[in-house]
Amino acid sequence: MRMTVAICALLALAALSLAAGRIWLGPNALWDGLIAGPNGDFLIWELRLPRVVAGLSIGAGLGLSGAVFQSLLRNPLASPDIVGITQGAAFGGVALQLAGGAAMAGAAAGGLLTMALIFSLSLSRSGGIDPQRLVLYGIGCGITCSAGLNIMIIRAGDAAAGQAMAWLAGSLNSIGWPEAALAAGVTATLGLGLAGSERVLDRIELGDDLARAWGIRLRAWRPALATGAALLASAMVAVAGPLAFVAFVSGPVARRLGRGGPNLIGTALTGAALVTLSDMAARALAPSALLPAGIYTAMIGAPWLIYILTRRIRTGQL
Amino acid sequence: MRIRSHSPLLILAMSCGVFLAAFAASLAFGARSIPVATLWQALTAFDPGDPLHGVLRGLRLQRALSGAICGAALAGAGVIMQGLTRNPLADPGLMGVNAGAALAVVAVLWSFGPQDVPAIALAAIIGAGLSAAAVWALAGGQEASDNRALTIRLPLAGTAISSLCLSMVAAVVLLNTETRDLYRFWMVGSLGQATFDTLTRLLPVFAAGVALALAAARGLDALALGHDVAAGLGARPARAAAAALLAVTLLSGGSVALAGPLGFVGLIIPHLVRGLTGSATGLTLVAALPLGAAMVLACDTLGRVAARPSEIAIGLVLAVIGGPAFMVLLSRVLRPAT
Repeated sequence: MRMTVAICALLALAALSLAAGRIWLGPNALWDGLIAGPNGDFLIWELRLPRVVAGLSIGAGLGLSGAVFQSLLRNPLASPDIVGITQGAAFGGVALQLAGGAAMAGAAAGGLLTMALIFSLSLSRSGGIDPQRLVLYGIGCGITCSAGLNIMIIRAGDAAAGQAMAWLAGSLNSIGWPEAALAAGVTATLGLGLAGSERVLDRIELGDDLARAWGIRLRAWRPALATGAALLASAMVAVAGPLAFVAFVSGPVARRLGRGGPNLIGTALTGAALVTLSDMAARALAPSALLPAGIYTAMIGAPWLIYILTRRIRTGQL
Repeated sequence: MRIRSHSPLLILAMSCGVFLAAFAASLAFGARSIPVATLWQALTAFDPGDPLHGVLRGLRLQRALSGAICGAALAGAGVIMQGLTRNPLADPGLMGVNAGAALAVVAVLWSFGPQDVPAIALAAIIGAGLSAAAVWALAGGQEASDNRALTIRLPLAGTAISSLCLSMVAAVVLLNTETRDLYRFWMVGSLGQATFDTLTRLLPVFAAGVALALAAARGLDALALGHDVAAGLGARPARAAAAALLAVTLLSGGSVALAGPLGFVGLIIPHLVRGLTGSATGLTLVAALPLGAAMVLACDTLGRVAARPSEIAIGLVLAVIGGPAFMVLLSRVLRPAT
């Protein structure tokens, strides 16, 4: 029941996002345009629909990736955008693109390498992973990658630099059907795989020992889930740039809205709603400036980080 | 021979020697190298007709001086901040100082248009102070039970405040082209636009900062023994902490105003110096000033030589070196407890 309401709300939001922008469409115009088909209405079918589809898939993908990391490490701070995985993916993507290769492959490599590095650095002697160390190492990784990224952008020519800058802020402004299809495809395959592991994650959250007692093979599950989640986040970064804080915020919000526990489907819906809302704000609030959606997600996400910190400090968890 | 047996004088002489070498290198190398003999002539017997002399006196000297002052100020701020928080990872940049200063500068440029140097500097200093205070409060600095807790909380709180400030900066800058053009020059952290005029106007800020830092050093040493012991020794903990915070704000804010946001000098230099001097804050501070200057000058020279004939902004060079350094320090700090 709750899920039906959530999905309906998300669809309504998507429809609103289709209608919003420099030119606002009324319900009739929107319906007529949709009915008219791909060749009938350029504004809806070629400009807005790919953005909405991309926004929904990217939000869902980033949200899922974040929730998997947060459960796996049992720490709400351990999402890929805080621990440097998205920055690593951005670094790899820009590097390979400037060298003439495919941004997607570079992003995947960068994200996976960063993940492998911070996980191996924070292995404790008993074979477990210390989440607090992982978060700190990840922040260091993120700083390093951002600096390398800035250097590459400044050294590149003006045209390439301009493109890279827009992408870095995290934006859906230059999305067309190919990008939207890519994002939707990756989210559908990897995301479904991850969402299917919800019960495993639920048990991993209980602690390493209890998870083992439930028969979960941590040695196999942990690297598999982390790799899948890192790949998903990296692919989303390759399409729309590092949209700040989506991965970080979606999981905990969904947890609060749902019954507790990982709630991966809810997380995907929350992430999708967050990115769609931010992209709509980007188009509707200041149509002449076309601010990147990443600015709006950051303005929602940073206060949330502050809230999480104060709460954990007050309750003595940090 | 143990390293700690070095006398303070020897340490000071060594750090001044390193600083002078870096200063000379910063004058000599660049888009075009200048031989040492010419360097000396230009400084002692200036010949207006010689183009190399012109480059040196006109551009490189003011650049090297600004770099030296920024580096010294940042290293000093780092020493004081690490002493105050008793946290070896405290660094003005990680505490959100740069982002706060950036937000304040952008807010001023946006509301009032192009501004004189003192106005920008004042904005940067106020912004830096406010964000440092916010990070400190958010991390629960005053009531933190132990150093390990603070080690984990401070970088997180810094990340939170920084990203909040930076997203607002990005919004303003993207909405307003005029502000963007003014801000762009400033944001990467570069010594390229520093002039003698800016430098002389900011000197009082740096002087006041160093004086306050020196005055706070003894109080910080007493504070390291704990609040009660410090009070028993006759120190006034609250006053020392206030002086230290003000010193950090003046030093890092002044440096942000002069060269834009530069990170990691305040993190790395105090560590290197403490290896030589031990834990006395006063001596560490005095030795860190020339070494911080040397680090900024060396990185600036590196950025100019590596990308000849253009240059890589110093802020970026520092970040590329500083990120890995942060991780190495982290592993050393966290090891004993795990």
